Amino acid sequence: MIEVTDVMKSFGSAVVLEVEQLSLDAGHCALAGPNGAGKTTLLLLLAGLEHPTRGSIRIGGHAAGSLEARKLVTFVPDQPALFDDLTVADQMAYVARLHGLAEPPPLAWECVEALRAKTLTSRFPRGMSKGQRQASGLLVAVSRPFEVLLLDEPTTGLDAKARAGLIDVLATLVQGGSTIVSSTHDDDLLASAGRVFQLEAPSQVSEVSEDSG
Amino acid sequence: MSRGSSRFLSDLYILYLAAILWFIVPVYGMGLALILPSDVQGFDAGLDIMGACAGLGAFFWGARGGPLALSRSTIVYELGSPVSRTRLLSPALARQTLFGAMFAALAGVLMLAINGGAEDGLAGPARVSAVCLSTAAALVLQAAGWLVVLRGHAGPRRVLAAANTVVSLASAVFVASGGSLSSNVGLALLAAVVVVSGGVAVVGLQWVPIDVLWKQAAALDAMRSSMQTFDFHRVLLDLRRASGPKRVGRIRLARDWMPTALWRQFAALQHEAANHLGRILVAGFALAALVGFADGWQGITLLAIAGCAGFIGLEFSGALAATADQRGFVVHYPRGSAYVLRTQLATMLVLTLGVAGIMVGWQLPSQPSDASVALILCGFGALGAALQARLGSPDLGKLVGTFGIGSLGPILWARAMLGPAVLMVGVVGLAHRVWHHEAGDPSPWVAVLTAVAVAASLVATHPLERNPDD
Repeated sequence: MIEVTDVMKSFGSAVVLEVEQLSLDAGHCALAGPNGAGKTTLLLLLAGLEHPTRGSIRIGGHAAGSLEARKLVTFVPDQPALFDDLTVADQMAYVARLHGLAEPPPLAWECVEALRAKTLTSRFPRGMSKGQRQASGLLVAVSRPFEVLLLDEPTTGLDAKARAGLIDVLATLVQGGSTIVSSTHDDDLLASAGRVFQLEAPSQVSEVSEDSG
Repeated sequence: MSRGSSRFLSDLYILYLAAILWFIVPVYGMGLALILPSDVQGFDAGLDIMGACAGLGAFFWGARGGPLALSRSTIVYELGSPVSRTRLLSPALARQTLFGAMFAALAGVLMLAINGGAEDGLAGPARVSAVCLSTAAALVLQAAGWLVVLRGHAGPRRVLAAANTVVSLASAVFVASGGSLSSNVGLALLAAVVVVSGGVAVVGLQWVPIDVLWKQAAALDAMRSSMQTFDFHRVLLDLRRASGPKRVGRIRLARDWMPTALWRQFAALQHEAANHLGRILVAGFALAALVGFADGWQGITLLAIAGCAGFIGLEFSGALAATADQRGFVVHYPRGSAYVLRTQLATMLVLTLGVAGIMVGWQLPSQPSDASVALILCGFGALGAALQARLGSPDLGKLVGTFGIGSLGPILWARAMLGPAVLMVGVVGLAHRVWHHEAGDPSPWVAVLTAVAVAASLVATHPLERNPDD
């Protein structure tokens, strides 16, 4: 599903990421590593929100960031992008409509239950806590069809029960054939991932674990 | 140097600058009068109507939280201390009154200059400034009084309400009976109104409701942060949150059968439908009144028509403002952000021009030419509002990366001013093309107006993607 080939990303003269080859299929892949190792940059490249200085990234055979790739990819940034003039429920409905759905799919409502976020859906983003914004971002992201889910620090600010709920949701998605790439410092989330990649500053990526899941 | 004396010197310096500006501003106004010709007829009447309505304005302002814009730290540390609230709040109220009056005096003399009335020495501008200054001071002071009366929990509220009502009615009755506020009697009356309103405010200060100030302070903090990025559209939204009334019950406007772009607009509007509708109606009826009764040959009338449409446009530009520079959304846009922005702009223009059409349309049978020009002006007002919404919430990191930190200030200013500039070009262009154009004389204004409209549309719908491939 995801093919990263000879990718380098630099900002000015600073090389922040270098990946020779990376192939990801269905399953949960976690990116670990210290701050500044390039986890967020890699996710932004996969989402098509940044462009590599060199190399190619293909999602389902399409260039990352192209319209075809964007139909497959959904993304929850570290600081979720939310429409501040719509409630969370409205945002879920809007994103669903943009993708031709009459309403958010059942999975989105399962996420609402798992994250214990029912009261959150009637609220506006302004004034929400970090964890609430994170949960809202995830709900909006899963309100549309996707095959690849990109999550940047998805458990930051979530309470223990919501975190456990999120891990359950991700397991359900993996069973359904989705590809999930998350960056995290959370041990529970790392433990739940099928594959874990360790990113070391400034630019090395190595796989430290792999199982059949 | 103590905090008090430092603030006093700073205020004194601002007053000094305002005094200098008072002499300079008319020059700019006269420059504006050259491209938007107007004359002074009707200006005094407008000033009197404004003065007579100030009491009503103070009532609404007081009900929405009043003029005491305090920071949260001031509320916690100063109002929380065992010191008389009258003593603590009086300087803040005095500053607000002073700056409000100063701003009004400058605005008054500028408007007089735009209307061509600043060329006959200092007497005229001085009188106009005195009326504006007194009216604004009374407005601020009365609003503080109404805050205690309408939102407070204690104090002699009936007495304060009665005093504010009497002085407001006095100036309204004076104007209604044919009196002029810029006459000697009018100025004396205004001075009396300021004194009584000031007394009411000072007496009421000790009962100012802290819960209202606290709620306002949180919104003001957000507003200051928006001001630092010159995001004037966001400032407007924050101001509404700071001073707006409580949300009224949700009215379901967004319906399943609607196209997504239209659904998006109404989904945002439906949560505060009554408030949005109220503002749209006020601007809409002002538009109808201007087209129906004001002198369409006056440049200032044309500017006001475009301005009213701009205000209506701002009500319908929430979607554009919420999408502005939020690159993270593009992953959700399966047809590209340019497509989404274009549909948002088109929907916003259709809704704005729809409201404008209803308000102006009744003039079409009798004055087809004037009504058509008014509708085109409304189009430029709406485009200005769309630009203002789209260029708000700038991505500072991206701007610094593109232009460098040294250019950030001018770039932010340019972005903030583009919307008003489009509105202004539309008004000037139409005024010169339609009314100040000699028959048979080739005019470049049609080409200029078309180019500006196209450029504004392109900027408002510029894709969010860094390298759009679609």
